[in-house]
Amino acid sequence: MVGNEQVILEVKGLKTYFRTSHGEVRAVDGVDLSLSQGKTLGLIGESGCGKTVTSLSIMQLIKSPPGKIAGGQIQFQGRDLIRLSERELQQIRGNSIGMIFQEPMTSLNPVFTIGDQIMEPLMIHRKTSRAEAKEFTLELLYKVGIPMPEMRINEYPHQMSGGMKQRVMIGMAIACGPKVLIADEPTTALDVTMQAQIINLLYDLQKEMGMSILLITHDLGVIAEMAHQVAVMYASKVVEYASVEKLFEQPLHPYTIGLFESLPNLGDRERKLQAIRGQVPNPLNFPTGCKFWPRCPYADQKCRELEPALESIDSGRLVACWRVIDKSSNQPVYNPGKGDRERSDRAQVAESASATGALMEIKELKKFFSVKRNFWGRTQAWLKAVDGVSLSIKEGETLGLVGESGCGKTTVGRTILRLIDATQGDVFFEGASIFSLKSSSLRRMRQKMQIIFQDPYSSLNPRMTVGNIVGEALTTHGIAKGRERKELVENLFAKVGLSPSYIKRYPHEFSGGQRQRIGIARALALNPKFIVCDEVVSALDVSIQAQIMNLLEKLQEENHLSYLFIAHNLAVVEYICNHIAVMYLGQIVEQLPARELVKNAIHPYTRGLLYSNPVSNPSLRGRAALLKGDVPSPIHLPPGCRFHPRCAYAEEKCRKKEPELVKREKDHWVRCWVC
Amino acid sequence: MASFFGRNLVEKLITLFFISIISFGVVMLAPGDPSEVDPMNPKFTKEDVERLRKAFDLDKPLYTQYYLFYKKLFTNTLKSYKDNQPVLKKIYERFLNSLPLFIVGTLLTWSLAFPLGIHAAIHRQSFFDRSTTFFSYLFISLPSFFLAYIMIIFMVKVFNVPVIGIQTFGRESAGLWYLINDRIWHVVLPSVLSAIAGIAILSRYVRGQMLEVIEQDYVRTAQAKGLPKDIVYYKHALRNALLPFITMFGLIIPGLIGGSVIIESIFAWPGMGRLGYEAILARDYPVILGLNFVAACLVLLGTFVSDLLYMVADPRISIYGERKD
Repeated sequence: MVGNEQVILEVKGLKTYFRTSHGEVRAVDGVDLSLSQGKTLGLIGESGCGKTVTSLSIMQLIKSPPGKIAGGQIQFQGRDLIRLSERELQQIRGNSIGMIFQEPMTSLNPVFTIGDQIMEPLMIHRKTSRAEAKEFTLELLYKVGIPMPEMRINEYPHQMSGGMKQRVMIGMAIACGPKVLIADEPTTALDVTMQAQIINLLYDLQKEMGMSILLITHDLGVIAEMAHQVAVMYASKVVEYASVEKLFEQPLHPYTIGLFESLPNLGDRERKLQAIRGQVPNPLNFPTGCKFWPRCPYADQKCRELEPALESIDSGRLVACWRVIDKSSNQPVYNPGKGDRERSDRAQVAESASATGALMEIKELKKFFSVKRNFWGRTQAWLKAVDGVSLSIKEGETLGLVGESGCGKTTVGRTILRLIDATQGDVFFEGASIFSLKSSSLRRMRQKMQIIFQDPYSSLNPRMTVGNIVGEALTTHGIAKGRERKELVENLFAKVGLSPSYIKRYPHEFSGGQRQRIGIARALALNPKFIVCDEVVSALDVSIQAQIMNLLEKLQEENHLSYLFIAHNLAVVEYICNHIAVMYLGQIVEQLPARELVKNAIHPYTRGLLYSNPVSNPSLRGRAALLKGDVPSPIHLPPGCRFHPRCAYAEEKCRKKEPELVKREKDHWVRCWVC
Repeated sequence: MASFFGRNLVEKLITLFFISIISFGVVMLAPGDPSEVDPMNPKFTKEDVERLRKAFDLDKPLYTQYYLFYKKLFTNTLKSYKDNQPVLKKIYERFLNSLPLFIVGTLLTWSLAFPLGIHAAIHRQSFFDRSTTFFSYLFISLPSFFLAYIMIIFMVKVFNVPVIGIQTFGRESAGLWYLINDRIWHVVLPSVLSAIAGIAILSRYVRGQMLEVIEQDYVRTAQAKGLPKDIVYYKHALRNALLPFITMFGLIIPGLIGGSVIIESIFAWPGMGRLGYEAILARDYPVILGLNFVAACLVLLGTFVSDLLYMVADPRISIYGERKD
């Protein structure tokens, strides 16, 4: 598709279908892609759009049956991969095309050492001896940034962190010096800091080895950091194709525009998120005409009837949208500035709330888990998940709690609701101590405090109808039953944007976003005052994430709710919260108003998180990751300031003495010696 | 390491102690009394009954009986009520008889069930998979006594060999070659029969386990590395699929006693299962409890062995039996 550069991998009209008991699923339906030498092609779209199936089709790893490649060509080094025998494909896989997967946790074999797993492709493809392979593996481990390779080479995957495992996966994929690297959501399962490190690593490796990368992701930020060309996929097809600069400057397809408008950007919290309505259609019953029209604000009669093909707009730019192709007057234009007025009063909500007292007051909360016991069952080592956290949440306010995984965010959320018992400290809700409550009064208190969980798939009982899930608490607390309960549940469904006719259905019949709405309805059933939102949007696609965030905000205004919003995505937290507390290894290291986060955050950890967050601006790419390494184990805490081993500004004092959380300005607290 | 063994041993001893109390209690609390085995016998006078009860310590309180019973068991002075033979000696003789049946049966089960299950899983929905599925369910649902009679008739009619008992009665003085041959013919049928249901069930488990592992991400990773199919399946997938069966390994040992009662009865095989069965009918408490205790020891030993094997096979299991994740 792009002229002058040498094309190394070309996909033409790829069709991959799956036979299911409900009919044929066209997961990939006529996709064209071309990957140039030494460049990165980003493939973006929400889950269920066919990105992963495309990548597995290129590797010819589609399980057959039920899948089959129904048509097209995959040209690589003068050969069509679709027509090759299994034996010929084995010589290409892992040798001239390497692949890394989304889940580093499950993509490595748990019973073999990482050394063995990296040596395998070397010994098979390069026919090297074991000793040579081992030597080369040590070099590879060093190259992908694994400290102490001589020791690490004999370790098993479970002994490594997620980021380390992904480095091992990358080492394995590049072991034989492939021409093409397919990276399927390589950073999605990782923390932002790790994501930044992995992106930098891939970037450096590409420059050094000159390989081409097919980067599959749903994250526009990752695309902006890495890709040269971008293909946007929607409902089994590519709908827009452009260079990364042009795409970010002016997206043309309404779906691409929608993705941009759904995405919260750091430092841009005044802009209201415009969620794309609805969800990705089920491939079993795609709409007629343009597949995006049911979600498209610009659709007209022609869109409903005729499906647009990819057409060239200007040099190297392709779009499948009638509005753009026909150059009609109301051609969609991306306007990032619009909608700001709707959120302008948001900061004042917090101001007015600060006049009233705190709804919830957390004082010196500690939660230790025993990790090692001796013969007599006495604890020898503690995991200090939460170590002296004090927070206060006012009525109608949202407090954000951010940090990398393993820093104790979730434990705080569960401990304050007494879902797990605290080791020390106290929590006051409306002035009353929660930890001293007896079980009967605790039950009454629970009506006012609810939680929404991260995983919408595992947090709903699959054997109960969603109506019962939402209404159960109403019966348990003796609020309503029978017809009255049914009406209340139907109202709740309407409130969270679900059809009340769904109440007889079971959780598996719903999509991820709908399930999260059910989770919200369940939390709202008892008319609570306070809700812990534990990573509620992190498992969702951007368009759905925006829908849920807007819903939470609407419900907050209507019901005067307070949220403790736990998340690892800074942009999301900045957007939805009034105040933000940054947590590191069981402690709060900085606390400040959300609107000051980008400008005034000073703790090196907060700055590092901000810096690691991918920026949706391709011209700003290539920044060095500030935060190096992993979160240390909370069992062996570093002496002095807990952050000092990863801190670029650490001084002698930081290594010796632990800093206190000190008030710097109004509402701004920092735990640091140097900043 | 020493701490692991010590802790494990203490745990197992505590378990064993409770097993001994519960099994003793269950047997003693069951209605009836060893002295009432033959109440209609006119030769059994009231005085005889009292004398028997005294001789068997049955007139003493339960805790004293418990103490005396296990004291005798450990000092190897426990005698059967029925024939006054030492209990441990009886059990040991029967154990030696059961052993060949158990070993051949287990070897057959494990060596056939695994290849069948793995092959069926790799070639899912193939003709082979469908036919093994059919035969598994067939053999699971056929009662073993029914199959046994058909097989006996078949063997006797076609090969004209004796199959009942442990060896041909009255030929003990024949030549060595004849004796070996005779023993083999006798062991084949009961061990095959006891293996059939095992193969049918185990191969289903293996197939299911293998199917689950084949779907795992790391198997896809292995394929993406360009490894040949055999290495993908038999190295990367199989090693993980085998892990749950290590636990089962510890649990097959009680089959030595309980699982073979029917087969031993049909083939008049003087094994441990029949010993227990006959002891229960005769209310021979020392034999019942002795067998029970031996079985409990074997099970605990089996679980200990599988704990050790697990540690070797799965690097994620540490010496303390906790996951190290």
